[in-house]
Amino acid sequence: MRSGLLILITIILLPVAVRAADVTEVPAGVSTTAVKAFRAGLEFHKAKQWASAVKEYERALALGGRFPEAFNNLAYCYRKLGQVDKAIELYKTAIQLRPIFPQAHDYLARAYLAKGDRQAALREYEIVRRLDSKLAHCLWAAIQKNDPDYNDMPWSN
Amino acid sequence: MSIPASKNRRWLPSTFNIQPSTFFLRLGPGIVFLLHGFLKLFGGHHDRTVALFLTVNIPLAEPAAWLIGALEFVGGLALISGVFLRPFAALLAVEMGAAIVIVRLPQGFLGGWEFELVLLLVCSGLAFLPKHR
Repeated sequence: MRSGLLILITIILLPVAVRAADVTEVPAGVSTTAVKAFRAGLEFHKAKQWASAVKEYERALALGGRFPEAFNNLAYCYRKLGQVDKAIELYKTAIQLRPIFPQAHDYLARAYLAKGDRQAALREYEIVRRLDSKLAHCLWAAIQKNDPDYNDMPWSN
Repeated sequence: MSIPASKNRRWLPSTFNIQPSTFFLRLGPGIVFLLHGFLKLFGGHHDRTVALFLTVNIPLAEPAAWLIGALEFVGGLALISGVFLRPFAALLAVEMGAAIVIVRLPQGFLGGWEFELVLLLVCSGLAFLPKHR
């Protein structure tokens, strides 16, 4: 009875654990052409070629890949290109599509930091702290240093 | 001598609903709410819930998360057992309505608010059940 309950809870929690992946994954159901464009964007992203990455991510979105990772990564590139307001709007879209998205909250906090809005960054930190302690640790360091770029792409290493 | 049905269950408070006719209808959402409430209260999902409430700007996110966890846990028990069925079904329907409007709408219907809508409709139906059905 008890082990049955444990198995049941594990089955329920498993998709949650799987979903708590990083920003490089594509959810099921996205068209293959959109996935291809997203993956091409990721390659440019890792190479820090922001303008080319933007092009590919936008192509992925245009091909019907309206998934949170695409908005999140596109926002990241826009922030790197200095378009912080646009980045903030895109992060908000990513979060609307998936409210429990620690990386998007982390990056949104960094975008606010880049804009000089420390209060908003701290508000997002409060959310990240409850979702991912490691991410929160890095974000806290970035806020303390007032450096939005501090350790902001650990997944690319 | 047989006891009339009405006398037979006189010892039950009027809030009880133990009729088997709606059992399976109650069991589905009952299990869902019970487990989600359990996870929010005891299963480590409290912080996730607070984070969600902070994200959608629900005031007093911390106590609200405990409250919603308790509502789902006790409400799930109520749906399964039939005790205080209608008031809890009504509360859970309101909660699902709020979840759709506040959180799920931007995510679209398929893969978004479809599940909450099913729960909302089933709970609404249960809330309007006549007594002892």
